Amino acid sequence: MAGLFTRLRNHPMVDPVLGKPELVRVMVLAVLAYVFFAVTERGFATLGNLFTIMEGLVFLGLPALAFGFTMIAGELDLAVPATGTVAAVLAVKYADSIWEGLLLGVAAGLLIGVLQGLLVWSVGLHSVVITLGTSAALIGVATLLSDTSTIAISDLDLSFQIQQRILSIFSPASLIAVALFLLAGLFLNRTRWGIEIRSIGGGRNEAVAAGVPLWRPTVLVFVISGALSAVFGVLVSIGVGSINPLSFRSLLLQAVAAALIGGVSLYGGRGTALGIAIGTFTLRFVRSGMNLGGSPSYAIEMAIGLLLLFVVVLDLASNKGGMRRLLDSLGERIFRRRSADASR
Amino acid sequence: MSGRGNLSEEAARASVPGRWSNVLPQSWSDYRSRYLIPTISFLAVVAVLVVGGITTPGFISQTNLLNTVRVAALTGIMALGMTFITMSGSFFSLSSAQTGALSAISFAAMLGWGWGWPLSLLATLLIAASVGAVQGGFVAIGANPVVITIAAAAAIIGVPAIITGSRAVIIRTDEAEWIGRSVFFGIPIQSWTFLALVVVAQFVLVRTRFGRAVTLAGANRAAARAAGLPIPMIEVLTFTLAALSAGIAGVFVAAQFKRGLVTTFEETTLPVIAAVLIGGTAIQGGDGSMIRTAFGAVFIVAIDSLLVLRGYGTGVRSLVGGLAVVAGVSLFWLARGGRQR
Repeated sequence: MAGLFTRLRNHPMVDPVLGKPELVRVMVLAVLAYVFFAVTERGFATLGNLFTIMEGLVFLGLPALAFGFTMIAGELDLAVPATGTVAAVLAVKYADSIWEGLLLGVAAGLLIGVLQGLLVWSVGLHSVVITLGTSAALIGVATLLSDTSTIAISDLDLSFQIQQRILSIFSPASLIAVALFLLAGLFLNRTRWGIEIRSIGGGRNEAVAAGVPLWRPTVLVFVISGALSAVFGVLVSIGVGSINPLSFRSLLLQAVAAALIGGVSLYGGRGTALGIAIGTFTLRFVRSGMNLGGSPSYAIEMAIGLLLLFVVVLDLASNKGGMRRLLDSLGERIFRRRSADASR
Repeated sequence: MSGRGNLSEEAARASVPGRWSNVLPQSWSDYRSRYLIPTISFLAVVAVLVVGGITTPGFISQTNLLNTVRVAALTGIMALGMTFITMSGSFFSLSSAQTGALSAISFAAMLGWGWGWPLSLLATLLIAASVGAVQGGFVAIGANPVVITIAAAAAIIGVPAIITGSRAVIIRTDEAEWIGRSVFFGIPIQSWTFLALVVVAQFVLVRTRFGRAVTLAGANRAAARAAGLPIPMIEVLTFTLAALSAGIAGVFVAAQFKRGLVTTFEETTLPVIAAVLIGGTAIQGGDGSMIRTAFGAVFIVAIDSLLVLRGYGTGVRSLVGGLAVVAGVSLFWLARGGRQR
């Protein structure tokens, strides 16, 4: 019995998952959330709702993946929603087909990514500061392009095209998202550049000492983030049929939450595309379940905020953070007192 | 981020309380970090005010100046608290707008319950401070301040939004009106408070044990830890001060407009951070001053007011604000000697 368990545990399909406690954690969280809402909310565990949850891979998963990439590299790209907005405005305003929109949006996203990456690398400041500024600037650009109003696509047929059901739970949009997640996972684990990205997040000085040219992963990660944000913006805006410069304002919290719940480390270096996808599903379960229960949007965001705080604390408790130090010093103090009592 | 610069020089700058010998520049790098940046900030403010004032009709009118000074005071008060966070090396808080809105709503609600203004004021500031202390606690145990404050922002605004159903809480009594609308010698009460708080905050930063500890914690975290400074306590206190300053701004807004609303400070997070950074406070901590932050706040608000008067929409204003942050923070960083990684 024990032998079977060990064999199963070390199986090449099982080990990469069980070997990562944060992946196990997010899976448990996802299952718990799903079961909870399936029991409490009627209409949650249906095929139609499964379609909605898969759509979440587009309008939450892609930005979470973009954030995840920058976090894994030890950076933080606060301009993900803004980049998506600019790409969306361009696509909605100028494109006549989905592919044209994607092409235009991704071109803009790549350009923004290159500029941000070069800026972060050449100035040498932490990317949080730079992207806070560029984010406001990009929202400004989107506002100028859209003339401070909501703009709608000229051909509503595109919205239907992008939302038509394939195999009853997928749509062209969510299939694109699934493909991007697969590519991202392969890229991070199997390519030299992907490993470079993780290395500058986990130990920047060590990576540079080992000969990683810092500019390459830094620029690359912002380019990837820009492109993913653009795909997200274009797909969502075409699906909805319109875009407003402030549409994606509350995205930041959710995308960061999805990435962190998905096991991306705040300290960089650790994180998987699979984890981010499951983290996205967890948040979609919560959101969709609370929506069905009739909770107002502020309540949902508050729940997500609290969930994020909870995961951060879990991370700290299990990781190299100060929580561990605090527990250790507390434990040591208690044990020292005990041994002193015993010797007396 | 750690290990930048010359340890002994930083320690000296951070720990010597200073007499006249310390006021005079000791070397070029000393001059650059202590005098060049304030000079640039000051000249920028003057240049914008003069050029803008001359070329924009209506900018130097009494109503506009009064309004600019009042808005700058609110942004500035929040920025003073934020400067403590930045100085200690914890970047910034993305939840001060929500803390301000929470305070505005609490103040309005407490007045409505008939608590009277002194008790309402005290209770509101207490709530704001404790909200900040909790966030500081998370940061103290090792969490990333940006992520914590993004999460906290949603949690902070959630409670009043659910209770009020996102509707405005109207103040029906007149007892607190003076807090928002008094004018002494032609200048609004907000600006007097701002001036007083600049002096107090600068004193705390430069002349008290706490202020020096914050500075050293930002200048060199390892040295501060080695010197036995209570880093977790410093983090809790800086976030408490930031939230407290947001609370003060919230009370002012509630008293002035006689209502508390979930969206009260919606677009102020960026201007507040911009004020700190354009004031030349180093984003990695350890170098900055409250007076510079005050100039930064006046500068940001004056530019915004100029753009409004010249008929530019939110797009251009957001673009200019964002570029100002990027350009300001990059230039100051490079002027200090630049890249360390």
